[in-house]
Amino acid sequence: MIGRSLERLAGGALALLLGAFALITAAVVYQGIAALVPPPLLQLQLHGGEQVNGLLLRETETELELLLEVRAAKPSWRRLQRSQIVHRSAPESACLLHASDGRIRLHVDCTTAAAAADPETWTRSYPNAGGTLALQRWWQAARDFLLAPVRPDGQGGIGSALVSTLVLVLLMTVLVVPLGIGVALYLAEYAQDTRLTRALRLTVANLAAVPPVVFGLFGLGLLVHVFGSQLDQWLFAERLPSPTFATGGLLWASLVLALLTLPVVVVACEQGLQRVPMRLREASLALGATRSETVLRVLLPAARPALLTAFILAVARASAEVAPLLLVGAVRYAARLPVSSEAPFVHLERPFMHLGYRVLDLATSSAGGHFALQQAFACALVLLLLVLALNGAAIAARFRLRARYRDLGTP
Amino acid sequence: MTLALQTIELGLKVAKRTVLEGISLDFPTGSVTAVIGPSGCGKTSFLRCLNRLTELWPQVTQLGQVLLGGVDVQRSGMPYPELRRRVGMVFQRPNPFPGTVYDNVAYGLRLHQRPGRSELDDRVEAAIQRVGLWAEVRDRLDEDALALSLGQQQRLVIARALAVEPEVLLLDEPSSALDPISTLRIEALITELKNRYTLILVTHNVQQAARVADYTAFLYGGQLLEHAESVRLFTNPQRQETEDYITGRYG
Repeated sequence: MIGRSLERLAGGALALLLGAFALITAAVVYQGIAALVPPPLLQLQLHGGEQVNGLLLRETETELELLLEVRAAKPSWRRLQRSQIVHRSAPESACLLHASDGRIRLHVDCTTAAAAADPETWTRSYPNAGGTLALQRWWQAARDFLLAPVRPDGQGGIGSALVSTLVLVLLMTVLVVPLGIGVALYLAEYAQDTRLTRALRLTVANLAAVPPVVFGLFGLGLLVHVFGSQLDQWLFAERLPSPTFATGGLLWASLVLALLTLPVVVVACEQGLQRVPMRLREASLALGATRSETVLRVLLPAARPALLTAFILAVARASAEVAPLLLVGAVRYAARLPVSSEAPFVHLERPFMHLGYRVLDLATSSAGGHFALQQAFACALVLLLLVLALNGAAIAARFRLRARYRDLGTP
Repeated sequence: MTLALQTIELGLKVAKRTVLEGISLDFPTGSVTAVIGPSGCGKTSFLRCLNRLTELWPQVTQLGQVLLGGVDVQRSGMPYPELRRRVGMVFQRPNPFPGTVYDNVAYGLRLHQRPGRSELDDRVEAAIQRVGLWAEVRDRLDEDALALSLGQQQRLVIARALAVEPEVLLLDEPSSALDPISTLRIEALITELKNRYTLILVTHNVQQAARVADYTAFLYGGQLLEHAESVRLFTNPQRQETEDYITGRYG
């Protein structure tokens, strides 16, 4: 009887977990895609003869929320009770004019002289149109979301943040993989099983439980303020007092992330190395290979699936972090990307934009209201897709290796 | 009669427990010596003392002398990789590396001599020929070694050990994981190989020792109880324990 109910309890827990996961994913995907589809432009006739035109941002049982226009980064809103409305329509010819600085103007009928008088340079879209125009509209919105230049207030396209996040995570990987494999090799292969080694191993594992923001603080205090200032004095003295490395930047941020993910990588790598069967080590040594030859030619190749797993864990962990980055280089607005076509191509000292920070910024900004929250979801969706793409590549590689090493069996 | 390998008062302690004690054995060049004895008598430990694979175990102390070609391994300061190249080993379970048949056999050669491509090809082929596996794998050299049958894998790892031209080959129950036909193949191979190499065979199988070995040593409780030509040991054992063991009263 007890066994049966325990089984149900465990099954229930699993169902709860899967349900929550599905709900989160669905919310992010739905809201994220909704953010890219501009809301309809409504023409409303009110009691008392007043007429209101606006983009429908939110609709509940009792009221509507409309965006009327955006003038020099100041949106104007209007909230209406349903009972006030006499007539409601969404004319096909309505259009939305969008300036590159974020200003928005609405016209119920785009063919009128008033609409034609607006500047040519503004982007024109038709929120109520159907058919190919609707597709075009969606395409335009998606392109704007990704590629539009970012503005000093942090609004605009997320392209810069996407590229910077990718570069940051890749740089972090380049730093953490050799370091993590090194530590794991030492613990798994070279260290004697003493009390000191066991304490060391425990410490490394426990580092995983240190709150990420503490790593950020460490990065700010030691890397930026101490190492950064020292570097500036040695190499960039001519630019002082304006700091080069003595301020948050790509290098320090990726180092902080590398330290943050190091415990995960070390634990996963060490377990992978320990799982390589003893008889492979013996086979290599018995043929006259030295210890290091055995490590390089047998152990590391055989542990490659586990090493890739470590990499996947590190990437997943690193792309999810925002808190420590706020202290060591993530900014709301960076005029330049941390990569460029000029030498040295990757600019380690530059502050950068970050998708996670963008999500935080959008979700907490008061200016955008509901619209900004949707944008935050869209950002989160892109971040998820980025992690998925990075991990997908690693998982595919691991599957191919697994197939090759499937017969290794138990140690 | 020259001695390829000789042990003098060999002993082994693991964490203060004595595993082997006072074993003095001679292994004449070109002979097959079987080491038999009940489970836990130290057969495998003895074999590992000869190529110092004992160093993989924690807290071991090896005592006494091992003489390879008349030279004391320990006193001459011979590096272990050098010792292990000259004293090859084959394990109980076939342990090919994940990788191709070719790469497995070439592994040792690439470590030590780094020969050119054509010489490497020749020596890999020669090694596989010597274990009689060439006809079976000549078209499968680029296949995964783990795709071979267990019996083929065991002959492959013997070829891998022979490729580096050892003087002595240690065989640790090489057929205990194999089917009867593969076992016969391995035994035939041992008989063929003894003209070129000195073989030391640890086996659980008394009949196998009687079939292939020139000499047989009987270990019991970490001590050498009897050592003689196989014919004499199996027909006329001097000790009661030996007789009980070879007649199958325990083991």
